[in-house]
Amino acid sequence: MDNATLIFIAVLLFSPIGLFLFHAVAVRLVKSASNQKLVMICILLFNAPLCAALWLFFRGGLDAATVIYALLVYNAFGYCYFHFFNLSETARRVKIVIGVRKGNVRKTQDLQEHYDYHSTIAVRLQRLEALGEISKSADGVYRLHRYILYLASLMINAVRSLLGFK
Amino acid sequence: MIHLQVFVCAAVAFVGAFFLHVLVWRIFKPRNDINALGLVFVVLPFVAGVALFFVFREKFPLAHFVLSALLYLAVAAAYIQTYPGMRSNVPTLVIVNLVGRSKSGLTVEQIKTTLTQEQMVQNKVEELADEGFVTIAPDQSIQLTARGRTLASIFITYRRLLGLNEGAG
Repeated sequence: MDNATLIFIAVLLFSPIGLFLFHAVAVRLVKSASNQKLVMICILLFNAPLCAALWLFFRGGLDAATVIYALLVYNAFGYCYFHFFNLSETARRVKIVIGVRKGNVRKTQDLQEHYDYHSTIAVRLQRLEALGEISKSADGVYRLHRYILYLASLMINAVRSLLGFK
Repeated sequence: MIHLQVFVCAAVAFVGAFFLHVLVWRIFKPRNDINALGLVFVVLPFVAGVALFFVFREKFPLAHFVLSALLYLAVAAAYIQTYPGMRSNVPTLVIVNLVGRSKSGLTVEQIKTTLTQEQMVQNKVEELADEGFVTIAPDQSIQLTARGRTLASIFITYRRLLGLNEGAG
């Protein structure tokens, strides 16, 4: 394997670390209404420095297949990063584990206090509104505003059926 | 630098692993599905890939093998990250789905009739116990295992490095 290939692979392997640093800076500089929206913007924007770094390294001699490959690998890692961030932001299991670690949850009965059901639903509705996926009318009724997450939910339901989940 | 062969090999590996995943999950659902996913999407393809590389190493250069493996792993990791949401009905997606299917929209109370308190919290503790992150004693006290402590530390440190408070869950 030649040096150029090794460096190309190394740049792609380290791209999630670069993305994390970029995201950490963005969190400190940008006050966003939605943490999830900010991370998505960071993932998309980081395509630019990644392509610039590869273009500079290969002195403009990149072919289309190499650029497509790099974008596929980076964006797949970016998607993983988005999910990792989402776990830290929204996952019930992560919140429970952290609650046990911090001593806020000692018994299963403590969960209802630590994990308030009503505010949990409210937080999710607020997040969906902040993302522009749903909107709330004056009479308190939520309606679909955009179709991105709705389509994702349909796709996930399709794969669930394929895997035999009820 | 990248040949079509690299894309084709990665795609074939992913389709093969996904097919095996569907087959295994339809025959029996592994209790510890994260480990099973690791086996189906990482361990088995790695073993098969190395074996195939040694068989075809004269036609398939090492660089192509490594580049195929990297692309495959990136896509497989993306799928593995999506899987927990598929298994356990992510509330956010359930809400969007309910609202999307309703022609006249839904109120919070109507959403709560589908997303019950038990689904939201209690099942999660059982899943954590099944996957070896916590143990639940007969008196219902919850203890973190070494795996659970590691998981908690990773997320606490990650949020701290990002400069964010603990997620709202």
